[in-house]
Amino acid sequence: MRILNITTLITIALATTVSAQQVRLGARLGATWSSTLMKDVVVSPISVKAGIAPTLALSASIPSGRKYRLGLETVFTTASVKATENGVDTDLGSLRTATILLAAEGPLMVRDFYFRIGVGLMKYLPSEKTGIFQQGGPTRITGNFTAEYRKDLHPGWEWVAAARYGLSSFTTKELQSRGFTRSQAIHRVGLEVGVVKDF
Amino acid sequence: MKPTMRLSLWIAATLLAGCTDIGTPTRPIPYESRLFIPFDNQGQPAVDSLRFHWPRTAIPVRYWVEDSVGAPALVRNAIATWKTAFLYNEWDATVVSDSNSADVIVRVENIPPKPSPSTIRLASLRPECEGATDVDTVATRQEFLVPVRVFLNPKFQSDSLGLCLRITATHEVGHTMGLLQHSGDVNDIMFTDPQAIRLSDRDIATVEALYHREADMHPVRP
Repeated sequence: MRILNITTLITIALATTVSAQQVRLGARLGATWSSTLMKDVVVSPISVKAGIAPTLALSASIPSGRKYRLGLETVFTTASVKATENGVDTDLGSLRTATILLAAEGPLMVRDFYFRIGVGLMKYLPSEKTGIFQQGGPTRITGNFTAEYRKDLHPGWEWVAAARYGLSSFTTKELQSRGFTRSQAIHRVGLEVGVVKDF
Repeated sequence: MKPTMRLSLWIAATLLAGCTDIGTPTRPIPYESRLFIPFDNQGQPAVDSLRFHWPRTAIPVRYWVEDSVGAPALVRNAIATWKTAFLYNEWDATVVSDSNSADVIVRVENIPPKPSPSTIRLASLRPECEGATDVDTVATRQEFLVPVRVFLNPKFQSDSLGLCLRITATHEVGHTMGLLQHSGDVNDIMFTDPQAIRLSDRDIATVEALYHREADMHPVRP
């Protein structure tokens, strides 16, 4: 969980270098859908797909200019993975992802709606080092766009509903060593609810 | 160029690079893995070809291994080696302690005579050790009798006996998975007189293809 440790360190560093009054922290829970991880043909076409993934997103940001903020966001998901061939599914275990994003956020033109756009790294953490993951899970560049709706909950607190779109690519060392070329574009759509607190 | 513009261009380039499908590889042509039986149910000359692989319901395949000359470790190593051939968990195996529940029984002994006329013996020969796998399709041709019997026989003590047993164990486990022929290429672990110390691309392609085709035989226990 090196990525988690780095995230924690950066978040602490960020929090201690700015005035406590400026920091905004957020936490959201939700679910993420992903497109097909990879396709193959041995005899018949095979596709590998992750199921709907429970998702935890944490964010920390500081002001940058009058309307905008800069910060870090981390997103964790866990899902089952299956291979499908001729309509028959094979369980390939579970797959966790840990994502760290450098994010910019600001208001959208509609009241109470905000955007967050971020780029960063996504680490795939398979439950077992077998099959396509027998040489480990990859780390890939990812881009995310999130639209948020925020409403006051308590003084200093807001609740938030968010829709996220993420794009990354997927391949593994094992697939590359077997002669798979390029990488598979992965589209991820998430829906989350949570809270935001200004300090 | 403004930083925001630079960031936008970088994001656009990332998105564009991500809009691809993975390219599937061209795999080597598999070697023959079907069992050929040169007579029909009445014993008359007629060639029948039969494909076998363990069904998903039988996985993990259970191996009982006689605890002699380090055979359990050799079989575990063979299982781990063959497992790397698969990308989609098509096959798995485990070493069990109860021979009654085993799908494959591995003995360390001089290779005995064939137990019945319907048994087909797949033998591997190396100077220091030999191996054999007995396959019985029973009478119906759709049935694959379990437990499958495997024999490992260390013929004489030498520096290379360990390597010989390791290669032979991997070769025989290959037969028990359904590779019911020998390859004609010395680089394949399934070559009659196995020399290769690891799976070749053809070994991998053959066992992959086997587990993605319909089997003609299913395992039965008498």
